[in-house]
Formats: sequence, structure tokens, C-alpha cells
Amino acid sequence: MPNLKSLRNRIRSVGNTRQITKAMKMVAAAKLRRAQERTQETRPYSDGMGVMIQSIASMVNADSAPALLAEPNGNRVCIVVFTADRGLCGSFNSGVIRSVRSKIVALQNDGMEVSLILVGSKGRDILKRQFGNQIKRVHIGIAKDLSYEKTEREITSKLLVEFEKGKFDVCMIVYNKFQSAMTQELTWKQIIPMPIAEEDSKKEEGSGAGAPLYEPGEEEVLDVLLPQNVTVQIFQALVESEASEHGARMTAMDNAVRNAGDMLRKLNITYNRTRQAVITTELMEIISGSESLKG
Amino acid sequence: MSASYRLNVITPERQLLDQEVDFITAPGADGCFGVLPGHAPLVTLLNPGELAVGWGEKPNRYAISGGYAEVQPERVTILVERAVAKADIDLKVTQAELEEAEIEQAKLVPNDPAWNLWEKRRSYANACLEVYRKKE
Repeated sequence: MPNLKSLRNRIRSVGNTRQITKAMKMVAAAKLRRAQERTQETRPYSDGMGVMIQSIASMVNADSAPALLAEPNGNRVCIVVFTADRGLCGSFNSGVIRSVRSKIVALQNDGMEVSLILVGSKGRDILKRQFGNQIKRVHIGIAKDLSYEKTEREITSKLLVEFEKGKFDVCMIVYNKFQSAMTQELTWKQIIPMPIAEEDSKKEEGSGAGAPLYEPGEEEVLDVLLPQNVTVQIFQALVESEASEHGARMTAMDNAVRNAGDMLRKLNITYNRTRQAVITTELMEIISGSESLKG
Repeated sequence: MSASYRLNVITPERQLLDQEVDFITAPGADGCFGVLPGHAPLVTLLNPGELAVGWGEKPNRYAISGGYAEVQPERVTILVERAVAKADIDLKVTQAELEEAEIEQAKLVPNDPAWNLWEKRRSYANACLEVYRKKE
């Protein structure tokens, strides 16, 4: 039977853990609300951008298409991985990393050369062991006071310069898309070159009131649009990933609070039983002592 | 033909406007243009400048950065990186931004990627000042 003192210590420490996890859950919930609003605010822009690009892209002929749109001709893939800067958020980070790992292996088996750009320190901590020399860059702390301009300055401008210099041919991003506080959807997207959805563009043409006029010209519009779209996609991924992170943390902490509560209840029962047993034993000793004196 | 159309002004960070309007003027890449209801379909790049919403002497004025506009007979969608209503322009902040951009630009070579980013900020700050100084 465990002694009373060690039981008391355990009860206290589990109680502390419960309080900490509870506080973390509340913080995550507050941050989640803001991040969630943000995902909703950014969606119209990226949706509008997507529709626009698809409708113009369908009109540009394949031979003269700009590099950001044309079929890739090379075997170097750059993957931008979005993880969190902090842990304690369930399978949020490990899910992304597991998927990246198997993707890299699959791509390398196909004879592709893979390089990595990591956003968030958790991804770096784990991936550097296995793929250390493939990591190009790590961005840490970018989710803090996140803005569209910052995204463009820190991530996209470098990425586009590298693409122009021919450092890679295809760029993919992987992130957790926010669905609800409980669920995140792991999403892979190719952003360079921009894939064109064939069917959608045909529908557009059918329903539109004639082909629109482009000023200054289709190709000029596209030249501006495509780099911007890369930023938009990355910004969107950052925002979604942040909301997912808070959601995942909230759920994980909620579970932790509940587990700590269960454990506390069990420990209390054991503690009370033990205490009762001690008292009973003492009573027995006193009674039997006094009985023996009487005799 | 209806007397108004739907105007959407969207930035990456939020939706600034979503309302029925009867007239706007916007700073197109090939010069300012106005849009009345039933305009022919048009896609145009926008320069940083002033977006005016409504008829007459006192339109609602907004400063916008570069971006583009999609015009359809019944709706106009303006996608810009930054936009702000005239009433929300903060003179001090904008001037500080303009100065910072000019100082940073002076350190760089034109058409360097970083220079281009500062150029965007500079031209947007300029557009804000221009709109701010306009009389009603």
C-alpha cells in the first residue's frame, strides 16, 4: 500500500498539471477565435484570385505561357512545409512531418531532387535529422504578427527569385487546412507552376457574357497576377495553419484536462482508503491494548 | 437594366466593401476609368491611387494599392493588396511609412526584388496621402 505522504505529493502535482493544461486550453481558445475569423477573411481574396487566373489561363496558349504557368521541365522539387513553432498540440506537427517524409521518399524514388523550406521550428527540429542537407531555409516566428506584406517580404520574394534563377522547377506547399477546432485537413498543393483546372475554365466560358477585355493585355495581367498568386497561396496556408494549430492545441489540452481530472479522482479515492485503513489499524491497536490491560 | 451593381473590394486580410453602388472611378493601368451599371466585361490592372465610389461632388474615397479589377455587367470585384477608407487614413503613420520606404529604397538598386517591395509601399503611402489631402 502506498504511503500517505507520496500520495499527497502525487495529488498535488496532478492538480497542478490540470491547472496548467486548463490555462493553455483557454489561451488556445481565445487565439483560435481570432485566427478562425482570419481564415474567413482571407478566403474571398484567394478564391477571387483563383477564379481570375483560371479564366485567363484558359485563353493563353500553351507555347507562350509564362514560366509560372507552363508545364515544369525539370526534376527539382521544392517543398514548403508549414508546422508550428510550439508543441503540445496533439498530432498537428507530427501529421505534417509524417506526410512530408513519405512524400520525399516517394519523390526521390521517382528520380526527383527535393529541397525543403520549413516554416515553424517544430518541423526543423525533426526533419533536420533525416534531411538536414536538403533544407534550404527555415522561417521561425513568422506567425507572430502575421501580415500579407510580411509574408511577401520574408517568404515569397526569395522563393520567386530562386525560381527565376532556376534553382527548382516545381514548388509544393503542405499545411493543415482549418476545418473545425477538432479537425484539420492535411493539404498538399502545387503552387509553382500553377496547375490549371481544365473543366472549370470551360464552364466559365459558357456562362460568361462574352470574353472580357484585358487591359493592358492578357499576358501583362497574367505576369502580375501569377507572382501575386504565389504570395496569396502561401499567406492563406499560413493563416489556415495557424488556426489549425490553435484548434489542435485546444483539443489536445481539453483531453489533458479531462485525463488529469480522472486521475485526480482515482488518486483521491486511494488516498482516502489508505487514510481510513491507517485509522482503523490505529483504533484496533488502542482497543486491543486497553482490552489486555483490563484482563 | 438595373440602376446599380455590386461592388466588392477585397484585400488579402479582409473584405473592405460589399455593397450596391451606381458609379465608381478607379485608377486603371492605362488611365482612370469609370464604371456604370451594365459595363462590358473587363479585366484590368490597377495602379495605386484613388478609388471613388458614388456619383456627384462627394463620392466616398478610398486609397488603394496596386491590384486588379474584374468588371462584369452586374458586379465589380476589386482585388488589391491594401486598401483604406479616406476617413481611416492616419497622416502620421502614412508619412512615416513613406519616409521609411524612401530611405530604404535609396540604399538599394532599382528593380532589385527588395527595392520593388519598398516601391509598393512607397506608392501606396503616396496614394494615401493624395487621397487624404483631397478636399471633399
